[in-house]
Amino acid sequence: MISRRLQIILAVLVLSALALGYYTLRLKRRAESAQTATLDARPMTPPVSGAPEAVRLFVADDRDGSIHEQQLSLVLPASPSSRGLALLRALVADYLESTSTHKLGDGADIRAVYFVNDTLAVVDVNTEFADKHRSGALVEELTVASVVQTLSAAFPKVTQVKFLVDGKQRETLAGHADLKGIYDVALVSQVVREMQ
Amino acid sequence: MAKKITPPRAAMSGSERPELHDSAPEFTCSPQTTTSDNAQLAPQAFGIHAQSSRRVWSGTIKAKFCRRALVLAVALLAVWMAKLPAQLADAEGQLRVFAPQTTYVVPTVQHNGVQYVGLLEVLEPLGRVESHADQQKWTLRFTAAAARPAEVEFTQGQARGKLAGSGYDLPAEFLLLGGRGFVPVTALGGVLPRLLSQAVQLQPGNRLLIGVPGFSFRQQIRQNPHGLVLSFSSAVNPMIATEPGRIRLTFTREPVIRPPDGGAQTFSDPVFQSSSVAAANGALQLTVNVANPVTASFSDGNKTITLSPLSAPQLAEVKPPPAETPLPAPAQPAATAAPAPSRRVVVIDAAHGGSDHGAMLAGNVPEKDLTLSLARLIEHDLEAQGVATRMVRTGDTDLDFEQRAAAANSARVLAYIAIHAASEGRGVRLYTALLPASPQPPTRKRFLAWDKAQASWLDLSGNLAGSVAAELSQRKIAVRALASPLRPLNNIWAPAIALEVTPPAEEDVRSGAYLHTISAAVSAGVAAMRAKLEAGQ
Repeated sequence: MISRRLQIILAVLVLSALALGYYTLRLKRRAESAQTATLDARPMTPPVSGAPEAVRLFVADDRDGSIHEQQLSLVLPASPSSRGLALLRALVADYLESTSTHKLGDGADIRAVYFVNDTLAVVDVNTEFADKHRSGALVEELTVASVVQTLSAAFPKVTQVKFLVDGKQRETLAGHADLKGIYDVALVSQVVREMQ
Repeated sequence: MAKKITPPRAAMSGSERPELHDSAPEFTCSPQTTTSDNAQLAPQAFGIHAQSSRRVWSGTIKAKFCRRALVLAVALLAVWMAKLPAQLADAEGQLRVFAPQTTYVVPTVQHNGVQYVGLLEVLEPLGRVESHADQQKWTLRFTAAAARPAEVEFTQGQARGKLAGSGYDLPAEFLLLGGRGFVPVTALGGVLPRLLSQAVQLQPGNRLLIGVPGFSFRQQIRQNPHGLVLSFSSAVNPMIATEPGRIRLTFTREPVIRPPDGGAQTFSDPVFQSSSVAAANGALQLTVNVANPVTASFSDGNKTITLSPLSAPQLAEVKPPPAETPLPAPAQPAATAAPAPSRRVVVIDAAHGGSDHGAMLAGNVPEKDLTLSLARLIEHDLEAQGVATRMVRTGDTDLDFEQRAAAANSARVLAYIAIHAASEGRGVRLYTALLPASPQPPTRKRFLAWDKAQASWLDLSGNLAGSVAAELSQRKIAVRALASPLRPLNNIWAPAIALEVTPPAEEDVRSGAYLHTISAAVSAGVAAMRAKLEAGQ
């Protein structure tokens, strides 16, 4: 027959084992969620090698509805499409920072940049870029203007910019800014100058 | 194989004899064949060949049927064409609602001879409304200011429904069209008091008075100085039009009610012969039949309108009267001296609507609701200044950009104003189209590029934006003007601007006083530009 003392010790040991198991499980889940949260949602550009170049980003600021020029050093690929993509992804990455003055929705990205005859640039954004964009005439205009101006500053031959969303034409960005038409770079530059 | 049947000579003569073939068309309408001919032909043909005779019978019946159907179709067409003008008139019906906070117009539709109105559209300016359509059932939840929510539930095609927790019978069946609930206009007098807890009067001519007293009036001939004095219980500002032998006063902005005796009077006076009152489509019209030209003057804070015969020198100056001479401002005394009317309208486009909520503003208010409220205020203020208006939408309806632009371009548009709202920023932002200006002046061409229709109007649009901006600044509202890719500004063939209303400092964008100030500034800005806009058309 097992003594009463042994019975108590056995029960305490079993309970301790269960409590430790539960605690270990919690620690594991906490570590997993922390790891997920630290994942970077910003768009990734393919790794390139070479010397960094000075580029100009035109960054929107919702606080006063302005667009400011920022100088940045980036290592850019050689082909124009890849250069345009890397440049605009750097701009979008800035907008996805938690401290951004012009927040874009999580997951916003530039899918591709194409050039037609050097003068027309086609910017293909992903669905999240448009679907999660805040609705408003000015806030949408700031996004469009900053993208057009950033691209045209790096590619001076570009005179027109067309937007696609997930490869398709779309009526507006988020209910206000026209995405059906083709943007005239000269006009957008004039607006950006007024906004600076 | 074709079988040939020769009809008896008694029935047919010479050249009229038809030949019936199996392969012949089975159903023909021949004006030469009479019913009696067929009646004689059929029994004899039956004796010759039973199968063929059945065809003859069949042909006879079909010929009869054909003629009758033709006659019936012509009669129906005639009836339909006779009713067409009335149907068109019904399609353009409207209900004018007078409430303490605002006056607005709601379109009505005709169904089975009953005039219907959207309940959501009627209630929308009076409080918070949510509606939900689930197949045949339609529910609405209405919350007036400082009141408990009330619910309405009706089923498509049924008159019986629920209203504020109890059963309610409509005078005609409930209609559910495109997710919108329609009740008979005559039901509003019973439905609305239970939802609003206010007195509601449905006046003749589709005029609904909610919590406001009707303006009564009386007419009296005055001898010295000679005139017809119209005394109103409150200040009025009617549109006045003269035509040979009569002067018409149309009240659309004030809830003037018809006198208990109907308002028709006959005067024993050499100038003023008689008067009559008619109400229709949300307006009340007082017509005074006169023997000589008269003038209208306002006094007693616009509570009194005096119609006076023109003196001899005035008569000498009077040219043949125009067809319509409205008096937009009450201060102008002589109807015959009023400026020629502008038939052009300012198109007011409350952005978003229906499933397109626009931005979410403070207090979880969708942009579409605020734009409609502000559009109604601007409509009211512009009309008060004698500027004709047209709303692109008057209810919670889905409209795409092409429809909005088409609605503006198809009107005789003086200017186009789109209304937007946002939570971020301060004051009002004014937008004009982001287009290169066209060196060509606006002229009608056979075709216009849809995406660049605005290009010829950019100068005038800029002037209009400047005029509105000046009025806003005068009222100490922060204003910023920008060119914008905002749709559908590019597609408007007229001076066009868009407003984006954002909150004032430390205040809610929904503040009534703030919106009223903006509305007053916009209407003043448009009115100041009116002559230039008309000259530019």
